[in-house]
Order: sequence, then C-alpha cells, then structure tokens
Amino acid sequence: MITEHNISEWAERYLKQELSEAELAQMNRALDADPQLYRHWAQTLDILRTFDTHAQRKEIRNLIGSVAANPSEWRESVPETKPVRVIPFGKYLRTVSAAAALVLFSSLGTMFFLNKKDNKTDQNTYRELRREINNIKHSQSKIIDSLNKNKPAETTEEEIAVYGGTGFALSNDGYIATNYHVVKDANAIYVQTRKGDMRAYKVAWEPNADIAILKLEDKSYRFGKTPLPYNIAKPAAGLGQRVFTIGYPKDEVVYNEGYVSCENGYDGDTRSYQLEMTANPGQSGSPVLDKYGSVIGLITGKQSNTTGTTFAVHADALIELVQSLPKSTGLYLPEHNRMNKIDRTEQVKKMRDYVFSIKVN
Amino acid sequence: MFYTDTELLTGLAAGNREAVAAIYKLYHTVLTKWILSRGGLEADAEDVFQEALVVLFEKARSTEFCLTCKLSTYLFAICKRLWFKKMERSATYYQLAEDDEGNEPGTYDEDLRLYLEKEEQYEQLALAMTQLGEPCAALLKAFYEEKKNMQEIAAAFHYTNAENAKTQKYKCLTRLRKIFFAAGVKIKN
Repeated sequence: MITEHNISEWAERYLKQELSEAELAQMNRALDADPQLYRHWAQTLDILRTFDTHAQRKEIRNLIGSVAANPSEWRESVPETKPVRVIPFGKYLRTVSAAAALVLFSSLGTMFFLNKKDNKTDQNTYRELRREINNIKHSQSKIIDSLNKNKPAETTEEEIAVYGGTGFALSNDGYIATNYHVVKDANAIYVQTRKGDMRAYKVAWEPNADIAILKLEDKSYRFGKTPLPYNIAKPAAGLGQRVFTIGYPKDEVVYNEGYVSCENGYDGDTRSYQLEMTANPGQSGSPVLDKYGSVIGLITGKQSNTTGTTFAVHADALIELVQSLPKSTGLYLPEHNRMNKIDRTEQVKKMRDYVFSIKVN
Repeated sequence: MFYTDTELLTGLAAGNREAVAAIYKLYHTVLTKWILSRGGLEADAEDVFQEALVVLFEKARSTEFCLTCKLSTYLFAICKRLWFKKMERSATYYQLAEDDEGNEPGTYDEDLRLYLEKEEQYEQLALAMTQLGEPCAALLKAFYEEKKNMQEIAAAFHYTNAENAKTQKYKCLTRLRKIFFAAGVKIKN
C-alpha cells in the first residue's frame, strides 16, 4: 500500500519496473484519490530520473572523453593536411611554361637516350655472378684509416683481388674449372686452398660456354688425399631434377639448393640450364650437382630482375673443352662418383676441400 | 572499418567504444575545422563536439528514437547550435535558422532544449544536495549516481545493516525532495 512514508521506495520500484499488475492498479487508485500524494509521487520520480540521466551522461562522457584522449584510435594515419598554398596562375604563367618546356625536353631527351642505350645492351637482364671485392676492400680500409689517423695509411699488397668467383677441382693434381668471365681480364689468379692463396694460370677457355680451366702453379700440391669424390656427368639433367651447389659468395663457403626449372638457359641457350635456386655474386663457377653428387653444370649468371632464377652451363661443355686439350696435359676427369650413397651433409663435407674461392687481380 | 548510421547509433546507445571512435574518425576533423573557422579555440571545439555526442547518445537511447536525417546532418546541426549558445550570438543564430538544411529544423532545437533543461535541472539538484548536508548527500550520491549496492553503502557509512541504510536513504530522498521543490524549481516533463 503506497503512503506518504514509503513513496520513495515505490517510486524506485516503479522505475525499475518491479511492480506487479495488482500493485500498479492499487497504486494508481491511491494516487488518483489523493492529489497531495500524487504531487509528491511525481516530484520523487523527477528527482530519481534526474539522478539517472546524470549517471548515464557521466558514463557516456567518460567514454567519449577517453576516446578523445586516445586520438590513435580514430585519427587518420595520414598526418593533418596542411592548408594548400594557392599560386596565382596568371602571374607565374611564363615561369610555369618555361619549367614545363624544360621538363618535357629533358624527359624526351632521357627517353631517347635510354632507348638508344637499350638496343646496345640487350642482355642487361642477365647478370654474371663474379664478385667485385675491390669496393668492399676500399670501404673497409677507409674505415680503418679513419680509426687510426695518426698512423700513415699503409698501402700494402694485400689488395690483390679485384674480382671473386668460385672454382672446383677437375683432378686431384691442380686442375680447376671456373667461369671464363671470372678470369678473362686476369693478370694474376689466386686460388684459396687449405694452404692459403695459391697462384694459378689459365690452361684453356671457351668464351661462348663461359668456362675456363685453370692449373695451380705448384705442381706438387694435391687437393685431397683421395681421388675426387664426384664425377662430371655427360648426360643432361632432366627438368625437375633437384640440384645443389656450394660456392663462395662471401669468404665462407655457402650451400644452396633448388631444381632444374628449364632445360634451356637465358634466351633459349641450349648449352645451359635454368635453375630455380638463389645465387649471389661470387658464386660464378660453382659446381651444380644432382642428388647423387655428379656435377651437371657450372653456375654462370642469373636473371637480374628476379631473385631465384639462375643459369648454369652444361657439364657437357666442360667435358668437350677437356677433351680438346692435348694428351700431354695429362688431365683425366674423375669417372667414379663416390658420393651417391651418402646423405647431403656428408656429400657437402666431402666436397668442401675441392671447391675454392678464386680471386682475380 | 565502415559503419552505417544505424550501426553507429545503436553502438553509441550501447556505450560501444568502437562506435564512438568511428564517429570521431568521421566527423571530428570537419566539425573542429568549422568551429575554428568561426573563431573558436581547439578546446571549445572539443567541448562542443563532446556535448553534441551526448545529445546524440540520448537521442539514440530514447524509446521513440527515429532519425529522420543523416547522422552527419544531425550532429552538425547540434554542434552549430551548441556553438552559438556558447557564443550567445543570437543574431547569427537567427541567420542560421534561415539557411538551415530545412530538414525539420524544429527537432534539433527541441532535442537540444530538452538536453540543456535536464542539465540545468541536475545543477539545481546538486545545489539542493549541498543544502541537504552530510551524510545524506553522500549516501544519495553513492546509490543513485555511483550505483553502489546497499551492502557496500552500509559498510562505507557504518550502518549496522543494508536494511538500515535503505531506510536512511529513503528518509534522505524525502528530505531532498522537500528542499528541491521548496526552492520553487519547476520541472517540465
């Protein structure tokens, strides 16, 4: 029963919609009967509603305020656009047209120049993988120079290497195969063996296939105690053959693997393969081996606009070059493969002594 | 993320943080620019925008809610009116009424009037609360504004039990009512 005394309680329950049908009906009758009670009732409701509204507003204000305080949630990632400066067109018409004419002229000139150059070097998408060491050497020695300025910069003869590549043994007694482009301009060739850098000279080369055969000047040196672990495969490798290589893109030996992705090389060259394998400058001349450990080719270059496309000349070309040598040379290619039954890490371990970093002065 | 007006409004009504952030992202820059162009400060712009959002929030929550124009139009209209109220430039305000979008110009004014009236009403209530004195004012505040339950309140105000606190609260409310309405405050509903 609603009375003056419990009016607040009823108002609260009414707003929370807790009153039953019977209670509501009874309340309405009581309020209708007593105008004084009704006025107080309405006043109480007003106060409660005011409180409620305020509580709600406070809550949403807090939310809005916290969103406003975290602009990262809603501000565009683009920084505020600065007001655009308007340049009166008429005033600068002459300047603008002169600038436009200059731009037009220079862009046409550039296009003309580039076109002309393009015809000349059609093969600019093919990159040879010999390494230019000189740049690195220079920058290193510069750093060192600046570190010890007091000491006069010593120009030692350590700066022997200008280009770098990779080569691999063709026989145990000093014959090495590499790319022709690695050694073609060489005054002196150094092969990095276990004994240190050893001088070598060119025995034979075939510029079209991009291969060269070198021989160590030290006739008594042997690469390893056993005959070579790999052989040179005459038959061409098939499409999809898994291959691997080890070479010297840096001063340590680096292993890469991939597969034969095309039976013909760059621009349809039938004497080379296209491989899907990463190769870096310095890996020119690295042997490409199939899973049995037979050399199927030599890395020669890569396509410069892609990362994984590498080209390798057929081992067949190498065999031809060796066979063209006079008998007195005494170079006999390894016939037996001693690696076909061991796993990859063992294969690589066995081969390491027969693959060299080649530096050219 | 793209929201429709309706999604934004339901989100706002539900107190959804992402909806508020989305409204900020969409309209904050343009409305701030508008107020800055009228000689307002960055802080004024922020105040006006936040207040307009509260108006929009209440509009979205009201049971008979139905937005007859685009959310952007509504928000912009409310912001303009709030800004002119702030500046008390009745002349400009009048001018505005003429070149308005024409889309039920009455609703904005009505919504805003209701909003400001309630705001004023609360200020009066707060005034009455100070006259009420302690601990009554604190007790009512704790229950009706901070939404604490009776057990917490009984403990905080050292009543022996929740029932006791409740009785006390009703007494306080009755006294508040008397003070509030004795001051001659009239409430239109």
